[in-house]
Amino acid sequence: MSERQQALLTSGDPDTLRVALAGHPFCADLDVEHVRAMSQAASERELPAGGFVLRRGQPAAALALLLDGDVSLELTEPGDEPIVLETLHGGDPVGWSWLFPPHRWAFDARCLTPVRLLQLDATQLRRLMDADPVFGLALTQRIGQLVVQRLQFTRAQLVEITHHDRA
Amino acid sequence: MTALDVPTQGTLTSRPYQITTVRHQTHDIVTIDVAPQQHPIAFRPGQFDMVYVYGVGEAAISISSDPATPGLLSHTIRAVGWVTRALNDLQPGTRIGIRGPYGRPWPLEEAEGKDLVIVAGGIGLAPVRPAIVEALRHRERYGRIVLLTGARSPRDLVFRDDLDRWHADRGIDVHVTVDSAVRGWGGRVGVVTKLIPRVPFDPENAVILTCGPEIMMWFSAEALVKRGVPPERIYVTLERNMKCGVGTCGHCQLGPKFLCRDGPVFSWPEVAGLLDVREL
Repeated sequence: MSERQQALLTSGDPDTLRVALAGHPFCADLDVEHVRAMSQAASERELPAGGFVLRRGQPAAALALLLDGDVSLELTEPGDEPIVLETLHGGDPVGWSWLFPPHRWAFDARCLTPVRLLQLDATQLRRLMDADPVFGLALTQRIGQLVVQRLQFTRAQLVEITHHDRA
Repeated sequence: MTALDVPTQGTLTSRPYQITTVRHQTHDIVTIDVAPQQHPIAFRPGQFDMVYVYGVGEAAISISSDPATPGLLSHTIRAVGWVTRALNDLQPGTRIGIRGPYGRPWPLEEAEGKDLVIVAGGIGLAPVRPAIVEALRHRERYGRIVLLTGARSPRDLVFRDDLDRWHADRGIDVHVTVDSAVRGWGGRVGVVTKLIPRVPFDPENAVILTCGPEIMMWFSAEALVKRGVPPERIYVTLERNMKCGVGTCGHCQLGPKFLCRDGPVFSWPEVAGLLDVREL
């Protein structure tokens, strides 16, 4: 992304947000009109290393699409070291709890490096999905694909962790 | 003759070797370096030896050292059974028997002029290490060289010195991930297959070498095919209860294949259907 595009993105220019959204892997092959609709709910956010993209128990108010930086998906019990479940990187979406009741995050997502992301307001997204069932289906399928992929990775992780001696 | 066919040099007679160094890779994995008591035997990356602990028994172990120095042979061993536990406890100076090398090696010649991508899980880095060393020695023959390696946790990572050195080497693009970590590990967490969609290489012009748990290789092959790699350019190495090493005893049979003789390196289409069959 050029410096100009980045500056425009920071200023919230809707066209630049649309371009950034269209270029994100989560939106690959999504209908142009759907990307345009999503851009209305989008804003850019920058977080420092150590900042949180989302926190367990908090309202799941946005879908985050990572542009740059590394994020650690963590589960923490008070007083204990956090358990890192997975790391996410530029090009990854973060979180799907915004789509399903009770709309609360189940994990922490902590920035390992400075992070730049696109944030899509969940209330607006859900309203758009309700208003346009074709868009609703397209987005639900994408989230479904993401859930399936993460579930498969998690199963593979479990197999590798628990059946280590069979390897 | 296919890219994988090579004559087997090994016989059923083991030769004496002396352990020169024992390097502890992790809490249950060691690399033992051995020197031959007779003339050294050449090997090719991906081949394995039958390693004999006198009085205990034999185990099939991939060769993990540099093929250019057959006089200093290394085997990297995880303690999982009687023989491998005994091997983990041996000290420098101990004599062991080795017969081999056996099996089809990695098809490095086929990767010349193409990107070479290595996907290794856990101790699976050991059988591909000679291929990496060999490819880096002849760096000009390949396009991109990419290593994707993963382990159960940071403490289960093997060949850390090599990984650090390769990280600093511009000739190879190294990506490391672990399945599980606590804070303090600054790297990636997740399965190694997750790296496949995002690392830079040309899927239509690449050869892939994969080694690790069968489930990991299965997931890797799926992800590689999805990325656009032709299945026949994906190679895996299999290990199952090898005994004779020369395709006679049948202990390592997987359907129509004797892994010791027909493998251990196979192209994905040769074995993909076999790895799905529960009864095998």
